[in-house]
Amino acid sequence: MTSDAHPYEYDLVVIGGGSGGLAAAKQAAKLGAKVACLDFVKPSPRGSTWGLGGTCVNVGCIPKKLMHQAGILGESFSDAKEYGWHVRNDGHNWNKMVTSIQDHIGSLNFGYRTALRDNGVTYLNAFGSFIDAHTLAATKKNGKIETMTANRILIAVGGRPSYLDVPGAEECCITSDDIFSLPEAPGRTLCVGASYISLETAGFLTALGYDTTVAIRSIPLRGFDTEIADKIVGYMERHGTKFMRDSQPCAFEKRAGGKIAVKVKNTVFGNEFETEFDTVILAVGRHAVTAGLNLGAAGVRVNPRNGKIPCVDEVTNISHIYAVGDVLDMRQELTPVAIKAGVNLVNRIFSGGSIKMDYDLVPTTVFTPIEYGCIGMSEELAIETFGDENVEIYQSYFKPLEWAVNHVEHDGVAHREDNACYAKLITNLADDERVVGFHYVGPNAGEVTQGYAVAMKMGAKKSDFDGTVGIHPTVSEEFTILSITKRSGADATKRGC
Amino acid sequence: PNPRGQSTSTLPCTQVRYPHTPSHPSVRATHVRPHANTMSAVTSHVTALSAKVTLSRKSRVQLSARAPARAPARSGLVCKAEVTNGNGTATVVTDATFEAEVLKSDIPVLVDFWAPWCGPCRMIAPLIDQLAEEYEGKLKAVKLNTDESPSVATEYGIRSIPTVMIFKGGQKLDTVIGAVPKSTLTGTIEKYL
Repeated sequence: MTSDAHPYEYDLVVIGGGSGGLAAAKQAAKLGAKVACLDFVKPSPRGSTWGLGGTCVNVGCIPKKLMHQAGILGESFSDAKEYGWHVRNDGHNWNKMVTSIQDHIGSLNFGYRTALRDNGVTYLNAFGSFIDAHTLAATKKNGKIETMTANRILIAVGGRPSYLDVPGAEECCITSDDIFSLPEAPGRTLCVGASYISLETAGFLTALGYDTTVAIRSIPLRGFDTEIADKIVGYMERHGTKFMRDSQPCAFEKRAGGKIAVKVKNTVFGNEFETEFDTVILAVGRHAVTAGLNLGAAGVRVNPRNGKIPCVDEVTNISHIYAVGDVLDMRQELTPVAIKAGVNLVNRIFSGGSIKMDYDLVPTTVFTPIEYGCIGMSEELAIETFGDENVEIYQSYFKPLEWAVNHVEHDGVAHREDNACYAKLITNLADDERVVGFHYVGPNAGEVTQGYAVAMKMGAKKSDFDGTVGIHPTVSEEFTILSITKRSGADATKRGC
Repeated sequence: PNPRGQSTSTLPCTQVRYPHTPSHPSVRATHVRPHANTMSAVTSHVTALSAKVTLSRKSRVQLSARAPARAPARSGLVCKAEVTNGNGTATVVTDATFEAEVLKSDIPVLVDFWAPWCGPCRMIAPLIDQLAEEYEGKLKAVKLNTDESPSVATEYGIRSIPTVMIFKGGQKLDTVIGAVPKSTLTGTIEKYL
């Protein structure tokens, strides 16, 4: 270990016990550093709080995927009947699902506490803030403050949901901080926002049987491939989720019986109307939790627009203070990104490692009712970057074989649509048809997408995809036989039986 | 559940219908399972709050303050209310009372390390209560919530739960990990009486 003699209590103090912070803390301790980790959750306006592990474990990826799975299971009853099973669907028990999920989260919290202990990391359930560049105040829930000094400090405080700045927002609405532990079933729900958080939440709520509406101000899934964002919304609309487009809630008010009256403004026509819901979930964005850190005392620069910390190679403007995870400016807000960046950073600091985090070609998946996995560029970005004449787009519509036996329709819409799934490969003709964008819409998108990320990292070209034999019968094999280009104008849909 | 009634160190939560979240560690409302096997010996009774356990009231308030995050299932609960006489119920111990109740006890102590989110823990909870009653005077059976008393849990290196430890004369003599059948626990206890 690079031992730099210093007069401080700790070699490294990590502020934040989430995906990035915990990974970095454990790795540093493994490399011989004396490490402390501070984690504290300020309760949400609704009062929700949680244990060690950060957003992903407690109010993000983990409970989201589990509730998404609950929805998927509900949708599978229809298939099961067609496969011959005698299935009776007596509806869904919200509390049972929440209890099961929260139990699992509890075991994860426990596991993390044990892991920190096993690695010799000092864990404090306290809110960390700067007193000066090497001194931190750790404030416990009872208000008691402990000071600690550190040679190096890693800021990994993550983010929290933002509230709309309109009357009644905090009193009436909840966020992703609250939905995964909601003690009563949400009932008729409004999801405000066009983010993946809003769409994923609306998706599983619809699948679980709740009357769900999404209010979108402008476009869905900003930053993702536009064509695919529209396909996802279209699918959700056909399968029961209601969408209020060009809609901006401007006031919330509690009504009798626990209902929430929502005043909505149409951003195109300017008219206002009122609707009522049992639950309103705001998913309009997240902000970095840097307020309260007293970063000024250490001289750490912050982006005033979003509270995030700009870094080069995860180093702030102060050479011994670092940042990883959602708090980092201009980087993907993803757990595996935070973990890898944190571990690589710690290796560079404490064991002479040289690997820097590569933020390019980071695969990701949106777990909407029809899932979406992607790697690399959207169609718009590819065209903007390489020019329309250099971009070749291959596409195909299909459905999984497993859906073939179910021809049931609800309100004229097939439960298992023929062309619900979509594959799109974007290549750069000026670079030997290097694959610069991978897009898959369909079930198990995360599992399908992961392997292709390795290929793309190795610089795979269209010829590599074509030269790879597909596994049959799967949906993923579609990517090895893509032949129809957008340029050709040929129809890429599948017809009939 | 294993039909042969043999112990498995941890039971997958999905196979066991365990009681829903208790509002208090000493209060267990248990389902009567239609195929109760020899292993679980789950009886259906509701243990009354014992008046002498003042600490448990504090734990109860703490637990109920967190209840929103651990909502109980609303499905109909089949249970036979049977008020016990307050003796022989597993006492609640905490970081603060561990030394006095366990280490300084005249008789051997069985400590059940558990947590509210742990399904297998909820499964053996009634067994601990039964042992408290059956071995009254000869052995004390107590419960420690590892979420609320992390110091003791850390001190004894609790890595997975449920963990049952036997203490005698202030010394930890034995450890049993996982949701084991009652016979395993009694077998362990008998070694130290």
